[in-house]
Amino acid sequence: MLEALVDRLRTALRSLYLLAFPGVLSTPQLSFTIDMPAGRRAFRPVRGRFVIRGWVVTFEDRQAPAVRVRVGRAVYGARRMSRPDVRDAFGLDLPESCGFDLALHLGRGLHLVQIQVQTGAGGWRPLSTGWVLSLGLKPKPSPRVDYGSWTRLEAAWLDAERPELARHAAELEDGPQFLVTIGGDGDRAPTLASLDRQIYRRFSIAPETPAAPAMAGRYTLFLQAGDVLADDALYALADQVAMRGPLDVIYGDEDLVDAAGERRPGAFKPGWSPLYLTGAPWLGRAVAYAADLGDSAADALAALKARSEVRTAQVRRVLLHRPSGDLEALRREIAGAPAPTAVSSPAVRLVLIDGAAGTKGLPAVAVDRAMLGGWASPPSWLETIGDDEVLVFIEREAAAPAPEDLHRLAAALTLPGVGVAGPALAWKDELWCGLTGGCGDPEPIRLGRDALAPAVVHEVLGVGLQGLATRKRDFVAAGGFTPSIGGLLQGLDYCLRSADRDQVTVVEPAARLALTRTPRPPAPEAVSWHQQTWPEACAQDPFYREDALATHPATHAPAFLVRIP
Amino acid sequence: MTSSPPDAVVAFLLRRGDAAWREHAAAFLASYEAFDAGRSHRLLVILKDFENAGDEAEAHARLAGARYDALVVPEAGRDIGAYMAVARHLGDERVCFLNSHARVLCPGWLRQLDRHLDRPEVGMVGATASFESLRALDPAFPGFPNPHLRTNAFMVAAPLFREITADLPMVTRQDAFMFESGALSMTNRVLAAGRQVVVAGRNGRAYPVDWWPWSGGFRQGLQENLLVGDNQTRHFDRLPWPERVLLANATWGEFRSRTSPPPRT
Repeated sequence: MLEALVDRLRTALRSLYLLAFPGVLSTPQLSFTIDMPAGRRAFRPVRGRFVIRGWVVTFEDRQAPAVRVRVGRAVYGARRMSRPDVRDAFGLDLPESCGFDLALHLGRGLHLVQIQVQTGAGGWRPLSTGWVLSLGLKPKPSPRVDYGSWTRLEAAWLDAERPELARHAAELEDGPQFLVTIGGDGDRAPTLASLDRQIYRRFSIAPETPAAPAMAGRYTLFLQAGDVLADDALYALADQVAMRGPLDVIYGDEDLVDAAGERRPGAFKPGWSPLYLTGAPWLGRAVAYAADLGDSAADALAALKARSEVRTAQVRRVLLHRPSGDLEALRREIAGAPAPTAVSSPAVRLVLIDGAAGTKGLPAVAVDRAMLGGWASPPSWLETIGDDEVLVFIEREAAAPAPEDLHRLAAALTLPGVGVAGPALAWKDELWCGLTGGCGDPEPIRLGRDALAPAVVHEVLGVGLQGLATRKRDFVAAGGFTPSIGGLLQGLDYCLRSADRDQVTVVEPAARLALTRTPRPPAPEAVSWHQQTWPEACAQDPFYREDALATHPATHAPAFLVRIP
Repeated sequence: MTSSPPDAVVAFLLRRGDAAWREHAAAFLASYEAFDAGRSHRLLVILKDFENAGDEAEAHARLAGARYDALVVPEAGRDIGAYMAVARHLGDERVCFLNSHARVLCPGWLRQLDRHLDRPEVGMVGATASFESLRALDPAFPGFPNPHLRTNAFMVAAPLFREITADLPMVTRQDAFMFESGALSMTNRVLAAGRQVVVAGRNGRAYPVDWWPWSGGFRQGLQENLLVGDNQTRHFDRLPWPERVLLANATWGEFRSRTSPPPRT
């Protein structure tokens, strides 16, 4: 009797609740558990971030619907997580990836946070709602030291590790054989002395030693008189071969050394960047080429460019010290020779976001940021644009672009494999050339006027929406930009999704866009969403490293950053 | 005349109590067959808690296609208890113990583990190691830094393993943790026997304890120098950046950084 009364009361309450909050309660088809925050507990920070975790399945069709988290007006897709325990618990053939997980670093303030699940009709319904008060505390940035201090630390550590390296070098019985050629008219003595100090001893010096026939396991270094190899340079190159097997090219970083032996920052090289290589010989001289590539650096470089697949390894350490008088030569190698201005390029359509300035004479479409993505099917503003047309997205922080700059940008998209191109953004005394992963905190690559930097089209991790060019076809295929994460992360996220489709993102430094004000940095929760969505991109930016000199970081967080004057 | 190195056994553990043992068997065998071990050996699959004939038959069906021997051991004694049973079963061979989560990552992996045992001063070789301490959970564990080989993949001469486990109680989960990273861990027992404990890298280098934090392996960078991976290394690869830093700090602490000059040795 009492039970029946309670049941009737419960049904009545449920009907009332559904009337007030339609779709809030779990239907028989949808089952879910929110493990964090559990039950009716409030959202609590875990190491400064608010963690949302659980699982959701629909029993009828055995699906795991998508889950997202709304913070104020912004929405963030939750990561899918493997939850075999759910499948095991129910003993049904449920999808293993029915878990969801998201940890957001919220900015200071009071936030309304709602966990939502996707319904069959493509809509979203809430699973849970709560208020979160965040103090917005952020961890301290890594300390920085100057280059001179760093080089002294590096030398001390090398001395400590030298016996271990020597023992390993001696054990590499089948290790590679290096042939070192020394060109130029300079003083060979420091170069020969540095060779004499090498920890790895399987090398010969041309032309004293007759050139060995090209064969597997032989590599050539083309040095210039005056170059000084680090004591562990040949060891580091051999170590890569030992770890990865036969390679076509192995390269490391270079810096400059003056007559007093004081070292200055030089070239900290990117990951393998074949497009950049077509415009600039950025590999420099801290390079070992497989002997069959050629008898000169120029031949070897040409042979590398001609290959569709190249086996490469990068040593993220300074292996070679050039004489300081070589600075201009180094600058030319890194900068490269810009190609003549493109005379023809694909048709360009400017997409002016939230009232950005257009360019007279160029077709443009004005859009709200909300129309740039998150749609089930392409919005109407895209209908009149041809599939092969290039969309150039411009945000309000950018001044009206010049037509020739836009055509240069569009021309970069005609290079093989390029899916996204960005300009160099001029801001005060700096040029911003693309975005770097920034160890999980993405930021523009800021270059000073005298920076050793490429002047030719080169690969980058991503570009922001202040000037992002992509073909309409690619934009539609990608489903547009991820909404509500801010222009910087929207651009980077789009570039990373393009990379997943084997498309490269480049910066064309010859295309300049002026910034009229600093773009607003992304919200903390958007950054933490990005970190979880792209953990690998946060762990390593292959194309840019200010922290190149962190010696052996246990993660790619630099042990410390080097301030480059 | 030089003596030939002892025979080698690769002992891979399958636990029936693990709901995913079928997936583990398939994934391990796929990785094992994808990469030449680089050293002659015998594969021994430890079937833990497969004493029921039906269960054992299913295990053999799952392993069909591979050349292996099997050893059925009881459920008791955690993973290490199973390893102890294997060691008792063996003679003078060298044995490479791999837990259920282990996956081979590169060619020549067994040769790289095995070759360092040719040096008489080396007693045990691991694929991964850590400085982590569990003292925060239990004061019985040594404080940080607490260097220890992880028990997911390591190689040792069977007689030495029998020697260091002769007095070992192996009943509870705590016993297993203590054997991995307690004061009387297998690492410390081998060190106490006057032998070195090293981590082997894919590059062929043997890293003594002092150089473990810079071995390019467990929870370091992109973990590119690993010979054998496991659930923990895969988890690290998938982690967002802040969690990755936290785990790396928990594992290696201040030793991750070279911001101070090296200690004088």
